[in-house]
Amino acid sequence: MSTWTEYLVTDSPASRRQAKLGQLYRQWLAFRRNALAVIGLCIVVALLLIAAFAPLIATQDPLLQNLDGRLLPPSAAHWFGTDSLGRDIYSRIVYGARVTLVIVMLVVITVGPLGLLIGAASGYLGGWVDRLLMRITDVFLAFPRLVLALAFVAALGPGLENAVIAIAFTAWPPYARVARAETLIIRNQDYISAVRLQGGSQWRIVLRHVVPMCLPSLIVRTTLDMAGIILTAAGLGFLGLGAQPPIPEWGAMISAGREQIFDQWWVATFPGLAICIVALGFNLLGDGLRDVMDAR
Amino acid sequence: MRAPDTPLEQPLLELDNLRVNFHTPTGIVRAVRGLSFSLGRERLGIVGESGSGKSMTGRAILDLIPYPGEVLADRMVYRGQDLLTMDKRSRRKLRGRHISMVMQDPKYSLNPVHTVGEQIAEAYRVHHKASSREARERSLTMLEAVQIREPARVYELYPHEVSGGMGQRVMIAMMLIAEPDILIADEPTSALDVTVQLQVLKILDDLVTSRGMGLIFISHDLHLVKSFCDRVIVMYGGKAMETLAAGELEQAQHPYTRGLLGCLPDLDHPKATLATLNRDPAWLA
Amino acid sequence: MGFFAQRGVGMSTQPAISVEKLNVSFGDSHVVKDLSFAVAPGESYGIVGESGSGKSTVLRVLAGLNRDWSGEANILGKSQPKIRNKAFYRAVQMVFQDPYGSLHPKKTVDDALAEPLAIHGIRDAEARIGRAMSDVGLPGSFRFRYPHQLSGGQRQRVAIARALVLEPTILLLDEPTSALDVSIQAEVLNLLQALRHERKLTYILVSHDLAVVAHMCERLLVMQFGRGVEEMTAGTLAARAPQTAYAQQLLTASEGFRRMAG
Repeated sequence: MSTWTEYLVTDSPASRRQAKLGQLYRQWLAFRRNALAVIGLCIVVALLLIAAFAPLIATQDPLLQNLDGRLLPPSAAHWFGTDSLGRDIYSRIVYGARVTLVIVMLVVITVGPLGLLIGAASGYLGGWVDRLLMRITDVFLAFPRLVLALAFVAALGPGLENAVIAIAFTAWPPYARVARAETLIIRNQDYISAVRLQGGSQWRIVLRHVVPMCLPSLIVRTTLDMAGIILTAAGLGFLGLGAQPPIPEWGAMISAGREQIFDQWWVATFPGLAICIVALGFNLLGDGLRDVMDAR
Repeated sequence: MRAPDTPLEQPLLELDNLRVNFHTPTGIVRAVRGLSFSLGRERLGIVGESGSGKSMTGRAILDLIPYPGEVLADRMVYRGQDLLTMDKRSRRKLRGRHISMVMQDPKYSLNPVHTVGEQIAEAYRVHHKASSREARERSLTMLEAVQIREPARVYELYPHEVSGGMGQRVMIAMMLIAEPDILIADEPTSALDVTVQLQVLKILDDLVTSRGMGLIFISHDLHLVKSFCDRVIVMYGGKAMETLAAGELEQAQHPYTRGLLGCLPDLDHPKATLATLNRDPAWLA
Repeated sequence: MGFFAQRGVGMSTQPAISVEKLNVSFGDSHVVKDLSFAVAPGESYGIVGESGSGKSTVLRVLAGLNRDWSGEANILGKSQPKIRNKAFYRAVQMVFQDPYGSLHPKKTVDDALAEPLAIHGIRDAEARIGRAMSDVGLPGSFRFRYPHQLSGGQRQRVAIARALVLEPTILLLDEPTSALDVSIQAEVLNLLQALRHERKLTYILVSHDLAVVAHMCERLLVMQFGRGVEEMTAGTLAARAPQTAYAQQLLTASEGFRRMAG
C-alpha cells in the first residue's frame, strides 16, 4: 500500500504513465474530501452495478405478466408491488437501470465529442467558420429541448433509438457554447502561441492543445447534464415517444402508473424515486468533479 | 492635515512574534514565522522575494488572511488597542478607517460597474456620516490631492477607462479618504511603468509626510525600497533576516541581503556573469 | 531610422534580422510606426520601452504570431511573408514573459519538449529531450513533472529548453525574467548568456528593465508610442549619455525614487 502511494505521489515520476496516474491520484484525494460528491459517486457506481448484475438482483423476469396478481401493494413477495399487468415493479426498475444507462451512455458519446469539436473549431478558427457554426447552434438553442426532441421523435418515429438520437441532436448546442467560450480564452494563451511558433498545424493545435483544456469543464457539464438527459428520456417515455412497451423504462413506467396514481400509489412512485435518486447522484458527482477538475 | 494626537514616541503599531500558519492536507505551511517590529510615523519597507511572507504580514495586520490560514502573535497592538482580543466587527471597522491597504493591481481592486468617483465617495461614507453631496466634494478634493488634473471628469469614469497609473492613484485616493493612521502598500507600483511609478510614489510620499501617517511599503524591489523608505526589514522564508536604515542597505551585513543586492545587474558595475544566491538553511533555523 | 543600420557595430556582414519601415495597426490604433533596425548575426539586441511602446508587438511580428503588419522584415537573408513555413520555425524561436502562462497546464515537461520534435518529424527525440534538459540545468527527474510542480524559475528553464530543442539560431526573448524573483532572474540571465556564447545565438531581448538590457545586450533601441526613439550601445547607456530626452528620462526613473529637498 505505502509503496503504491509513494509511487503515485512522488515529485519525480519516471514515466509518462506514472505522471498521469499521480495526477489522477491527487485529484482523487481532493475529490474524496467532498462528502456529497462521494455520495453521488456511490449512487452512480450502484447504478452501474445494478445494471451489470440485473439478472442476479431482480427477483423476477421484468416482462413476466401475471394477470391474477395485478396492482398488488408492496409486500415480501413483491417489494415494490406489481403494476397493472401484474409485473414485479422492483424487477422492472432493476432492469430499467440498463435502459437508463444505455440512453445516458449513447447520448454522452455522441454529444460530448460533437459539441467539443464544433465549439473548439469555432472558437479557434474564428471568422466565417465561427459565424456559421454558431448560427446553427443558435437555431438549436432557440427551441426548448423537450419540444425539439419531440419534433425529432415525431419525424423519426417513436422508439428508444430514435429517442436517443433526438436527445443527442438537441443536447449538443450548450456543449459547443461552453467549448467555444473556453477556446476563446485558451487560444490567446502563450502556450498556444508557443505551439504555433513550433509550426504546429491548426488541427494539431485544436485537437492536442485546446481540447485537453476544454475537457474538464465539458466532463463536468456532461455529468451535471446527465440528470437532464435522464429526465428528457423519461419525459419522452412518459409521452409514449421513447422506449416502447414492454421495455421497462422508468419514464414509461410512471406514465403507465398515471391512471392508478391515487389508488395504487406504488406504481408511479418507485420509478419516480429511481429517476430522482439517479439524477441526484449524477448532479452531486458533477459538482464534486467541478471542484476537482476545474481548479486551475 | 491632522495633528498627531499621540506622542510621537508611542508607536502606531507593535507586533511581537507574528506567525501566520496555513493548515493544508499535506501539513502546516508556515508563511510568517515569528516577526516582530514596531511602526511609528515613518516609511517602513518590507522587502523579500516571493514566498518570503511579506504580503502575508500586511494581510495579517488587516485580518485578511484567507481560510485555512491562522494568525498568531504574542502581541499585536494598534495605538494601545489589542488587535488580538478585538472582535471581528471592530477589526472590520478599524480596517479602512484607521488602517488601509493599497494592492498591486488597481484593475482587480476596483469594481468595474461603478464609476471610480462613486467608489471613492462610498469609501468615505462607510466610515463617516455624510451626505452624498459632501462625500462627492471630499472625493473630488481627494482626486486633486493625488494629482489628477480634471477630477470632475475622472470622477465619472469607469475603471476600464482609466490607465494603470491613474487607477493606482484612484486606489490611493480611495484608501486615504478616510484618513487612516497606517497605510499598507503591497507592491503598489509594480504593475506600473517606471516613469508613472515615480509619480505615484511621489504622491504617496507627500500624503504620508503631510498627514503624518505610518506607511508599510511591501516590495520586492530593493532599489526602490532603499530610495523610498526610512527603514527596511529584509524577509526570507517568513523570517526577518535583518532590519536596517534604508540608507545603510548597501552596507548590509546579512549574507541574504548581500546576495540579493549582488545578483542584480548593475549599470555601473558590468559583470560577465551575475552572482547567484546560495540559500543557507541556517537562516531559517 | 535607416541610418542606424550603418552605424551599428558588426554590420559588415549581412544582418541576421533587419526590419525596414515596419508598421503595425490593431484596428484604429497604430502601435508600431515606421520602425527600422538591424541585428548582426551573434549579436544581442535590446528593445526597451514602457507599456504601450509596441516593443512586444515587434517581437510577435518577427515571430510570425502577428500578421497585421506592413513593411519589410528580413530574417536570415530572406524577406519574410506574413505566414511562415516550418523551416522558419526551426531557425527562430521565442521565450515568453510569463512562465505561468507559457506552459500548457496539462502537459508534462516531457510533452512540452517532445511536441516540437514531433511536429518537425525529428527522430532522436529521446536523446534531444535529455540534452535540452541538461543544457538548461534541469535534472532528469523533472522530466515527467507537470508545470504546477515546478517553480517559476524552473518553468522558465523549461520554456527555454523548449525553444532550444529545435536548435534555432535566433531567439526572441519577451521580458524573460520580469515575472521572476531577482535571485532567479540572475540564474536565468546567466543561463541565457552561456547558451548564447556556446551556440552563437542571435538574441532580441525585449525588456522594461534598463539594467537587464545593458547586462545582456551590446546595443539597444528605446521605443516610445510605437516609434524608435534612440538606438545606442550599452556603453552609452552605462555612461548615462543618451541623446534624447525620453531615453534620459527612462534612465533617471530607473535609478529609483528621489525625494526633493525640503
